[in-house]
Amino acid sequence: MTASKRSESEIRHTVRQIQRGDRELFRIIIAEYKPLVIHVVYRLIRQAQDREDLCQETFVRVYTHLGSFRFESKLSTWIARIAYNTCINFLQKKGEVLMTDTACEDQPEFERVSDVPLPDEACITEDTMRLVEAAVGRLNPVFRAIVTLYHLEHMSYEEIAKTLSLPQGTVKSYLYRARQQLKTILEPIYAGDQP
Amino acid sequence: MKQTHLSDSEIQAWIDGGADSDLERFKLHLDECHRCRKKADAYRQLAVLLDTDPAFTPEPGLEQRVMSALPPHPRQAERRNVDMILALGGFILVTAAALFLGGWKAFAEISPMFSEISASFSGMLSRIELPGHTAFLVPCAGLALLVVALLDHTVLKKHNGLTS
Repeated sequence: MTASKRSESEIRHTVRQIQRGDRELFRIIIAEYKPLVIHVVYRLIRQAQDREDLCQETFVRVYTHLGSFRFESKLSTWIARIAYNTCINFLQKKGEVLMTDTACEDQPEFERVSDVPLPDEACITEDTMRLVEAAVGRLNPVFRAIVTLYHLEHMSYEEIAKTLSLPQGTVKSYLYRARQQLKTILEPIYAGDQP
Repeated sequence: MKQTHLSDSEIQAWIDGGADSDLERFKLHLDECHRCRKKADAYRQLAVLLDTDPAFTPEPGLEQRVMSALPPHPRQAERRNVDMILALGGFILVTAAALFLGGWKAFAEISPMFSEISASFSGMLSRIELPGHTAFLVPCAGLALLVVALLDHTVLKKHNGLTS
């Protein structure tokens, strides 16, 4: 998960203080969970201005509903769910097709990246990361969210299932399919010259 | 080497680790099968790439923009609806008690103004024929509002996926 600067008990104390009316302490929540929100929003949304707006909207929704947060789940899971739902609502309004179980069966074949220079295997360059982001961006939004929460936020299947309101088995299956697609797209980058 | 190669899902399960009872079988196969081992290496390297923070660079000033866009305190905002419904329910209950227990007559003794209001109210009431079960229904309406307030506070918030 994104490196946390504060312990669970410190965060709990901060949230209680905010719930009691200390508005300024919400800056701590923003600082602590900004990387998580940015990961989710930037992976799901393409346009720069939309990303900024949705990051802001996510935190405003977090604050607005913080009074109903009762620590029955981790705050990070709850915030990730709000970020994900905010983005999905936005994409639905834009008319973007989200994945359904049936649509998943009809995923297009992904072409391999064939004309990219192979980076040094020992170091991951900025160019490599740009290609990775481009590849992740070709996945459907649900796959993008699962890959992000699993690999960048190191959430368990259970936490991702709660965040996305999906069964755990579905999360696992979607993650496998997403990585299979990414492997097809990216394999030339890291495995093209292997014996 | 075994004839049946591991599937992509089986290889990914082995890379992820965990408590899968088949992991030992996968390992034995990978020790012997060059093709599956090559595929496993590819997935392992993919995982390294996906684990790497892409270092997104948001516009500066997000914190300030959020702070200036925040609504009133969440707790106050949330309590406002509930409190209004509770107050309304309480008002109905008190009104019902005043009407049917005759408690409003006590106000007539406080001042002449209340006395006049009491007299006109009394005259008005005498012309109204209330069904016999109204005394039961009005407090029930108050109780129903309290139940709605409680549902609003718990069930509806949970339905919106905003409780923890």
